[in-house]
Amino acid sequence: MYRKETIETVKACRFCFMCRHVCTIGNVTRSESNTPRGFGLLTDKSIMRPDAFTDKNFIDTMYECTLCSACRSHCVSSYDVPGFVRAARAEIVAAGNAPDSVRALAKRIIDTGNVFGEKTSRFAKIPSLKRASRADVLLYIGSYAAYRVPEMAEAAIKIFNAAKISFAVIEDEIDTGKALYNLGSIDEAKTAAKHIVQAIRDSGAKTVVTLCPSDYDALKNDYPAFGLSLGEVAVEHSSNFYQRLLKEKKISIKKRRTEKLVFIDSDYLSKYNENGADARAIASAIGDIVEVGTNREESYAALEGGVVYQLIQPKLGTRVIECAASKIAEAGKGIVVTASPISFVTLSGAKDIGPITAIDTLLAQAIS
Amino acid sequence: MNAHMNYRFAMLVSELEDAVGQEHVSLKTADKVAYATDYYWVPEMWHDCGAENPTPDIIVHPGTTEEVSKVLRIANTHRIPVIPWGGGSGSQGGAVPMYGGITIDMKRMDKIISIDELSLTVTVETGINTQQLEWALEQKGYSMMHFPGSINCATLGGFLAHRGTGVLSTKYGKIEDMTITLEAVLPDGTIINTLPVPRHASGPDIAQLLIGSEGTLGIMTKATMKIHRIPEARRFHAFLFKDMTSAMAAGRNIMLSRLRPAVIRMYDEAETKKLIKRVLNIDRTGAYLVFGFDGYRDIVDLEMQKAIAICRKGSPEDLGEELGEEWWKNKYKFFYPPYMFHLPQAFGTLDTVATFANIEKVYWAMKRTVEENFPEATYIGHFSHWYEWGCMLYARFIIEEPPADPMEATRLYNKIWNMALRAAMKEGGVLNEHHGIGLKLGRLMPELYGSAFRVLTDIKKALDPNNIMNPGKMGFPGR
Repeated sequence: MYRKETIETVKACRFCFMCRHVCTIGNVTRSESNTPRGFGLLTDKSIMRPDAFTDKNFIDTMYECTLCSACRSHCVSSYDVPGFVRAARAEIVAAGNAPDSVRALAKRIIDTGNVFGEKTSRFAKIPSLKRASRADVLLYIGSYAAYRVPEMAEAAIKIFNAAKISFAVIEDEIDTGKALYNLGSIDEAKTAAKHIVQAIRDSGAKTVVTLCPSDYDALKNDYPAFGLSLGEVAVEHSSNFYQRLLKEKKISIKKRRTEKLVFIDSDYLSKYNENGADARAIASAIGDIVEVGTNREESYAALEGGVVYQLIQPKLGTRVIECAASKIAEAGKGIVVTASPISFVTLSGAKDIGPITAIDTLLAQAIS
Repeated sequence: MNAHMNYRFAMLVSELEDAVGQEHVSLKTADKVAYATDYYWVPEMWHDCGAENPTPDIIVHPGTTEEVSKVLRIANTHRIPVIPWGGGSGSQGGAVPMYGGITIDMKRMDKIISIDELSLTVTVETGINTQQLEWALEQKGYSMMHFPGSINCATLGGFLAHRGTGVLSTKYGKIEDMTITLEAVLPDGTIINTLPVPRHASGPDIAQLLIGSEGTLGIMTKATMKIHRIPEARRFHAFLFKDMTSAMAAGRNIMLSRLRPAVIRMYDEAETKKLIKRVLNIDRTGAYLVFGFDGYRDIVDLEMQKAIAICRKGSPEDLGEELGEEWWKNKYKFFYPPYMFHLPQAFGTLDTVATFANIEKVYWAMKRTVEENFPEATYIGHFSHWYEWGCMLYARFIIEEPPADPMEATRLYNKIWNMALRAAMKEGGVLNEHHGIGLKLGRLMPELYGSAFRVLTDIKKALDPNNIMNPGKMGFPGR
């Protein structure tokens, strides 16, 4: 059953074309069903006629949205298109109609606690990590940084150490539930969220710092929506934390880069939370930023919003990544800088773009 | 569908896939739903009633003019309806596939081919989203200066097909004034180019025949358009007049003085109360008028001074620059939910245009017609696009609770349109200023044109003898 707020959003968006020009998937496939209006029309059909989501093509289409949130960010009324897409996916899952790829991925995340199905220790690739269980600051690493971009975690540790910040980690860290939420597995996402909330409470932390913007959004927005409270614990993305350290002069930038920095806004920082300024400010302090594309409204984060999009939509996902990469390449040669380990992974290996660096790595090098 | 039909359909799909590539032909149910409804109230209302709207049988996404040509040849051979689709944001039902067939979505054709900095023109494929085009131009220091409420949703081809108008039309013109030359594909697949410049004495203007033809005579695939350097200054000023008539006099006098405002917009008392309050948070009684100038700073300053002096003769309340700027900043906000009218309300934009001598008569005639015959309807209006000889009236009717039965709702809706527009035409108005005719107003075209409508129908028959192009639109026959 859709919530009242979801129905109101669908009714607002089902005939509205105003954000279609920034729709990531729509600008790749050019199909009307791949626009916020298209997703709204299909969801509206399912509100009026619950059996609408037995149509396989309707279901597949609802999983084509990349959840970049450029639409919501653009909308003067901030209607939550990604929110109703997630709600529609939840209806699909609850009815037992999830596509096989979605079902298999959800099972893998539940079984292993991470999106990659890795069975090795979460921190195996981060040798400098000292696993304190209690501290004022808790560093939530996340599966992308832990398993695919460990240099990002190493850089964060270096920055923390330089600022003389003691931090804890969750010994049995699992994914925040963001990927499960995006897939429509709400109950399982809530189970993961409860585990993380309890672990944060147990750590005694006053501040949680996440490396991945998607985890920041999960803790900041999803958990309260699930009815879970972190109490007085502050949630920050690492870029917010670093910028504070810079302002408090606990760290300082010792050398600027001579290369141009091709900066990619994070979906979860800039589009979902209007919280991209710190990452951008850090990059600006380190080097000259080059903007991607013709505007700051579209997403060039190459599937960050979906978190696991490439794992369930490999063909479409590749087209989205190629499109983002071409815009990044047009911006010119330079170091591609991202605050998102997801964008780091999806853009790695893309043609004609410069080397990719996490903002954490860039900063760790600059303060050395 | 029987086996025979299946076989024919499969053969057609194969031909189309051969023309544009398999990945650019869609038979998906989700796509058919999305292409069944444009921004026209009637299909939206039918959707809300849970009805199945007419859908295209096939959606194709050509990537080149040659591919458009191939698709039209195939359609013409098999005599299958073709519905061009740009952004799909038209309000007149022009993109609704009433007879099924092939919807041609033009959005893959989105390349900026060249910018001529000597002539200040851009040559572009017509499937480009116009906000994307504007962003690309602005990055290079230029602008189309075409800023309609649909800029985010529409394609350039959509604007051309409907003779679109943007907010700054008073200075920069309607889309037909911005067009230098066109490439188009005729219904039989022939690719044509219009003359390289719009001003000539070499026969009638084929470009102007295609502009506004709403996909009934072919598909425009490429256009060379005027562009402008970003102006040094742009300033706005707003006044509140005691009533619409005194505000109209001020706007008219600005135009008759031959000053060159980029925009004048004036809201009647009802719309000032309803929308200006809601969107701009200006809670006053009267008629809100805003105007703006752009260009070199000193010239703008001087023109502003002159226009302000003209307005002050009507003793309005001076709302100053700030409340003028506020309007400019929020110019698109009117079209977003929840600010825009929306179902279950019934609503329609009765936009028309007339000379200064007639425009107020048109306003009052439509208002009387709507209010006296349909007491359940509210009538509001503003005057959006001002020319040296007259201006455009963007009147709207709104019914809060239309009949629940879709047939009854459609009947009532069409009756309002018929009566209101007949009243407008009687006073020197026309059917439409910039949204087009489409499905919504086609039946009134013979009344508007009189005996001249034969010129249009004969051209249609000559260019499209099999009536494949967007049948049933613009007053041309259906299937």
